[in-house]
Amino acid sequence: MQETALTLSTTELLAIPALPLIGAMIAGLFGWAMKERMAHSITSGFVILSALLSIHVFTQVLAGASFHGNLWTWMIAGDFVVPVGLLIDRLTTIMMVTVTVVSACVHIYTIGYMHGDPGYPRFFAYISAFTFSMLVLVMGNNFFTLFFGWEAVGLFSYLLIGFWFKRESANYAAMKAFIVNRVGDFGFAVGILAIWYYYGSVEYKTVFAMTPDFVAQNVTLGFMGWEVAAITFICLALFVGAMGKSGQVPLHVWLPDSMEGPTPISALIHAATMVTAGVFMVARLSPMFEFSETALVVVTLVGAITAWMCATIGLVQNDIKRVIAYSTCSQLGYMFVGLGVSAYSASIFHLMTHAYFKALLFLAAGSVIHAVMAEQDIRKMGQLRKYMPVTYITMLLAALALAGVPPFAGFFSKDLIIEATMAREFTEYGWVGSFATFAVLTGVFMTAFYTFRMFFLTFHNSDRVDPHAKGHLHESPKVITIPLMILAVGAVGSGIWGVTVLDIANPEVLNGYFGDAIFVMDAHNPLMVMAADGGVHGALGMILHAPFTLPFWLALGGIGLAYFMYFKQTTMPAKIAAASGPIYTFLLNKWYWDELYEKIFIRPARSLGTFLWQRGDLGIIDKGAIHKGIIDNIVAGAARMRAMQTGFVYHYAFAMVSGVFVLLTYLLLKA
Amino acid sequence: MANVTFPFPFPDHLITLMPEMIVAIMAMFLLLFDVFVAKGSKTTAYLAIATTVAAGVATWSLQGPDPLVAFYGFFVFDSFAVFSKFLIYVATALGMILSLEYMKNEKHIGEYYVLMLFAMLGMMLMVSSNNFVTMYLGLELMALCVYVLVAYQREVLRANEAALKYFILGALSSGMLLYGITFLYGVTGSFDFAVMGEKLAHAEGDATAAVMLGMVFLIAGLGFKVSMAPFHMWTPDAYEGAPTPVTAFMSVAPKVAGFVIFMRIVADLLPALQHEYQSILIGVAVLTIAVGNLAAIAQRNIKRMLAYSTVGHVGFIMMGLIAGSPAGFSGILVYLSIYLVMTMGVFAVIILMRREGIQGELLDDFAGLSKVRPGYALAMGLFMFSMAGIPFLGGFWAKYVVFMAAVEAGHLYLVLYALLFSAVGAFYYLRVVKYIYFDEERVAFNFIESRPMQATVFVTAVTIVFLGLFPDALFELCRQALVGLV
Amino acid sequence: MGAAYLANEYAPIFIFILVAIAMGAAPLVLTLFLAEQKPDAEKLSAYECGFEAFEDARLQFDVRFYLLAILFVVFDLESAFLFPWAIVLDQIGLFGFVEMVLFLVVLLVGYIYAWKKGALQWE
Repeated sequence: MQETALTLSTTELLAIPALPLIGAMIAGLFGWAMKERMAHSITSGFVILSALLSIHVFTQVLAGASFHGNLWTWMIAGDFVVPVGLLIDRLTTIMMVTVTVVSACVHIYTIGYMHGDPGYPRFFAYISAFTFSMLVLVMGNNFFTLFFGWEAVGLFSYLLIGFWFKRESANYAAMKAFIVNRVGDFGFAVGILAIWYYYGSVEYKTVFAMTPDFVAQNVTLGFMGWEVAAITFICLALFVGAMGKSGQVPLHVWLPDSMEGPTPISALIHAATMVTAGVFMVARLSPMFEFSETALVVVTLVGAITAWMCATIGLVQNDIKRVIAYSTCSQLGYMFVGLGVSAYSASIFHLMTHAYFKALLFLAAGSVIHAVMAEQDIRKMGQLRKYMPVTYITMLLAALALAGVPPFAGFFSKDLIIEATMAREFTEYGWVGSFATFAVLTGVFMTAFYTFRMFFLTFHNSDRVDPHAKGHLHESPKVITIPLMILAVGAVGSGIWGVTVLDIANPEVLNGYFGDAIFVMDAHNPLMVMAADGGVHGALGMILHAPFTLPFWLALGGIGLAYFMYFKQTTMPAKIAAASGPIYTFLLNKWYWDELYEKIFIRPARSLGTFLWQRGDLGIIDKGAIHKGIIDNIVAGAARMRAMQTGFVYHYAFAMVSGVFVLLTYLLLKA
Repeated sequence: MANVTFPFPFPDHLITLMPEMIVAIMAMFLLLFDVFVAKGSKTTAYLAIATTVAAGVATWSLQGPDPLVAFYGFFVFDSFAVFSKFLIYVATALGMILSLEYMKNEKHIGEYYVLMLFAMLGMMLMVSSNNFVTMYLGLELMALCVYVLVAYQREVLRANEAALKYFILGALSSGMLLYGITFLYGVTGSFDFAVMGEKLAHAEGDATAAVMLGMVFLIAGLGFKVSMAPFHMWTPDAYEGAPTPVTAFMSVAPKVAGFVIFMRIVADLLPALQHEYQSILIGVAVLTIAVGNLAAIAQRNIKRMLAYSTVGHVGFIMMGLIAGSPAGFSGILVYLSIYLVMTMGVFAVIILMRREGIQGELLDDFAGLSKVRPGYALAMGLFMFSMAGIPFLGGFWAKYVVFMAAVEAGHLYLVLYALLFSAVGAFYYLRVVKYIYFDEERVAFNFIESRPMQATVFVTAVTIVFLGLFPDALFELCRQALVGLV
Repeated sequence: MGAAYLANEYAPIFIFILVAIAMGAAPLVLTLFLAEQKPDAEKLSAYECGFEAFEDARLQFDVRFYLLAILFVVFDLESAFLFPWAIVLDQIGLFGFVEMVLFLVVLLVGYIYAWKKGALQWE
């Protein structure tokens, strides 16, 4: 069952997800008996080991190895066979490395951040188990392992958002995340069932191989009155799952709220890994999405709306974590735009760079929050650079990367997406293409602005820290700053590294590094278009070319405006806010999504529930028809049966004889 | 004098009867042994238990792929008989084990175990019979012994009442049975099931009416033994009056024997009349299921409740007969096996509950058991859940197989009806659980300490869980047992 | 099947009936002539073993009567079994003989048990 090119040890591959799982089980089951030191040593140790193994596998895959095979069978029901297998290729390994490295950093960071929390071992158990689930998600070779991982990461996300379960808001946020994700997961499950129905298999390779023929057959299905191509239906259903998990409009509402969880979680799950699962999934399934124009247009549109809308919301938020959270939504929107225009490699590239600088932003923000005694409002910070230089510098690097300033990581990946979008702007996408271009370009400006708004308010500007917290201000301990520094290397270098070492941006090799892990039709490939326009080669080329492009100036403009407003004319923001009135309120209230949902879904659902409870449960079952009709009759029947048992032998004998008589009469009459 | 020959190959035929002979000889030996040597000590009991084991060993060593026939076809020893005999051995042995403590203060205790052995002998003959003569011989041997066992505590008024009722109605049912056999014999001129079945297939004219008459009386007579409604009315009284171990014994072993003979009759004697007997059995099953499950709700005494529960189970088992297919028959064997384990476990717990001045038979006596003896409480809960047919315990699969067989045979509505009543039935089983787990203790518990009984509870509970998780082996075993019958 | 056949076949039975009547009647008739007649109330009353002659019919009576009755039935049936066996003994030979011995042994076991248990003693 195994097709192994070069040598990838199955044991090694299995060890990568297994190590975090073992760590999670030890910490989870025996955490009550452990000292903090023991709990974090075991879990962090195993995750670091897993990260090292991932890097080793990555180097091997870079050298040309790959693995595809089923390891064992999960279940068999009729001709429905669910295998458990691995597919290790270039797409998978880049995810594995990203996940495990970020996870390892977060583990170490957590040692300092969660120190003294009563749920300390539990927290480590959860994040290790999360790491395991995420690895299963990316490493599997079929839709069911994907689904398993998909659901498992959702579960641990829920548990971790609600980690401080005594906080009511945390519980609500956890439930919100879970329920919104369920909506997406429903679409995802429908998509997988449709795949099983049409293809009769759930293995990627089989499904991918069958797709061209399948599309050629023009299979359609009626869905709510429309005749939809089956492939489009499948892709859109799966994409609904991606929207839920990756916080795309209109299922994005849970992501900002998930910031109720401890900050390491925000970094690991809600920035670097889980939320990118949707992006990964679409890229993984590129051999299917490529065959559905409609699906790609929808992906582009949803991505563009999210990228633009969440950026606008980010402009006015005051909670440091929420700013970053909306930024995450927005950046995920960029990635989906990239996917939608078939620039899969660019999206995955952005996913990777984003994982490093966004995790860094979050962890640095956590470091800040830690220092100012759990204050998250940037209006109550300022001038912190004096107290915490390491956090300051690392956060600056991350902010530059996010804003897309060359030569930091974000520049390369974001630039690729933007150019790909522009390259396909006026082709077959119509107004969606124009809108997407508009969204990603204005998004660059806004991203730069809100990032540096937050940055200046936190570290520069006037000193507005609560006097009470003042005495506590200090640089965080080494266990916190070292992960920051590790991630800073990624935030600075992963872009250049990706372009030079992995050769991702090279149009001449089409998908560059990814090779056949990603499938793109020639006609779609924006990189081909860019190559035809005389593409730019290499990292240095891109950097030198930057000043001649629009995004570069937009980013600088955003930073400049932020500098002007929050450094020079510090009275200006209040004036603008007052002047723009309703727009400001509209943005501050996040476009009223939550209120909208409250009206459309939550209230009707609650009144339906009340109705069923009052009328259905109490009215019919407890007091009404069921009670009168069934229960009373049964009780009466029981009493009657009991009354028939008189205890007199002659009654018994009479019953027997009449029984015989009745049966005889029946038979003879019938005959 | 004529020439001296044995009219059958000797000793082959006698060897076929080895288990029966062992039991018969040991029973007689123990009868004398008790009066001359043991004089009421427990040795008799142990020897009786050993006898069941010996019979089991003998049966095991005799069994082979081919069925053995002895005495000109009057006695058969096929895999079907072997399987049912093992069920009977287990039921009898467990019944004896349950008696060890319960009956230790009774007088004339030697007779008690001997009677059990004789009852077992009767059942062994029944399941090995393929003609009415052997069947009736075994049936009466079993019935007479059980009558006496019910009345064993002769100072107890309700025991006497129960036994007398049981005896009188039993005599009536025997009369019906014989009457039915007479008609069938009159039409066919034979007692052998297969020969009679052949002749019945060609009965026409006036003979048809005689056949119908005979069949109805036959079903009524046998239905009495397995407690089909409306021939079930002795059951609650007899169950309540009998010593609890006897209740346990008689709620399992005679049911096994009765259903086995029912299956043989349906398969060999009545295949030509399938249409007629099915409609009768459906009517009886509908009534049985309703009576059993409804009347149980109104009971306060757990032995009476279990009596009605037995009636309900009999109704469910009848689904397998109605299906009349191999799946249905193997379903009956599965049901009987699982029913045996559950019932013995439940009664073991009930007996353990007996304490100073309290029989441990009222539902109230179980209140608060979980706080005092969580182990017994758990076992009792498991048995109750299993009897209610909740997955994944043994009882679920028992119902599953017979219901599935009935559905496959096209009796969907009957199965829906049965499902409905098994839901009703779940109520009174779960009520026991409620008493055990949610009510406060009302009287002090003071349990019998008896290793064999505790072991019985443990083993039966584990078996029920095991069968719930891995029922396939039992299914396969029951399928194998039917090879040659259908 | 003429009258001669009937006479041949049933003549022994007829004779047997006559002898039986004679055997029953003879003691009654003979006492009329041979015995001394001194009747009194007690002697003239109807006799039933162990009971008052005129009482409520639903009288409880001693369970020991049942015991005796059952034992009687058992041994009565035994003899009922023995007669046909005796008739065909020459045809079933040693096998038949052994069978009957076994039957009697079984019966004997019960008898010994009943004896040992004291079921045969009135007190």
